[in-house]
Amino acid sequence: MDLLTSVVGTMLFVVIFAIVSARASQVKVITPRLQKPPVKSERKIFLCKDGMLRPFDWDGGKRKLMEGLGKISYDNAPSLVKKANARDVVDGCFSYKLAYDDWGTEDELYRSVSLVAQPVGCEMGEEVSDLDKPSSNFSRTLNLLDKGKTWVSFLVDQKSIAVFYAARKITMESGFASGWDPISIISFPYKECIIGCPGEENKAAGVGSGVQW
Amino acid sequence: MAKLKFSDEQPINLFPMIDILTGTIGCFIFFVSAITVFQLGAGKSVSINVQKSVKGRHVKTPIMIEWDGKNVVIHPEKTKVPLAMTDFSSQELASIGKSSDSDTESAVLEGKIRSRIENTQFANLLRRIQRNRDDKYIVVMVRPSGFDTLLVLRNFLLTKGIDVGYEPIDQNWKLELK
Repeated sequence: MDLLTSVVGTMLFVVIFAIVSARASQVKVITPRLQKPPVKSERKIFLCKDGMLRPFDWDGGKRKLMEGLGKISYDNAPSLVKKANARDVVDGCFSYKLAYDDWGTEDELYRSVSLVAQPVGCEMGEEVSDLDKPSSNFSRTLNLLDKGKTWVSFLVDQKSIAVFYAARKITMESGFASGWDPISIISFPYKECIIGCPGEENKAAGVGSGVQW
Repeated sequence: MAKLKFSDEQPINLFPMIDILTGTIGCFIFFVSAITVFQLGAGKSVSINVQKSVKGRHVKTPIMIEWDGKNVVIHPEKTKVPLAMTDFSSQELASIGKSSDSDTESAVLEGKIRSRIENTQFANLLRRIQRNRDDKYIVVMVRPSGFDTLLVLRNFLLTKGIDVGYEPIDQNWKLELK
């Protein structure tokens, strides 16, 4: 009977503790402010999608494709695009290719070049529990970057707030400036004009508005 | 000679029954408490650690608002101001991110938002912050349901010359400003 009473008493204590904890738990949220990225710094994008964190090296993919191509004109665009795509640029989770499109009127034809990101089989996605481990791909990636020349941008979907918080905490503790945007602004395959765009300035991959911390 | 007889029968003992009763009552209490916890919900109350941003020597005070895609909730008063954006076309939403002042779609969006918040507490708040933009800025606590239209709201606030920050929060969190 003593044993039974103790068990019942313990269960009651656990229940009362759970109720009290659930009603009074607090989460500290910092207050960010949108600012321009550090001068002459490169952006590193990470995707927080479906509860997983993956690298999305949009700027790196663009740099690797465009490197050494020279000036792209209307006439040489097809051949240069083909040459760039032969490099088969992949960052582990996305492949990057160039594409060209004609635009304009019958009298004046122009050719724009776009960067296209396509998801590939990715085993580098990490959940919240993976980020705390020393073997975390995310931490290893950050360790390879120069915090003075790189800032981190996160794209976050509705299911990935927890993994974003965890990744951002690591990013800030590592000394990087960072920001985030909702992922709803892009869908895959993601295509964005980078050269010769019709009436627009070259803009970032719909993201990376700026640093917030 | 008389002998005492030892009865083979066990005396009646109710203690095992009490054990069973105690165990049953304990289980009932456990189940009822568990159900109560689920009914009440385990929604966390979120305390917002208000950190003033620094710009030069000026320290700006953040003014918190919530955005869930349909309503702006102004803190700490928790005033709710409806702001529907569901009728914005995909072309209008695609104009997000454009910084050109002459952009037609952005101007149309801005006009629509302005007309919807006219004469509301939100419009009054924006006017107050515009007058004190060196001292105050807005932080948008955005719920997942507001992700699709966050940048529309953000760009609208930026056109007012107001500094903006935004932070994602869980759909079920209850915000308490501290």
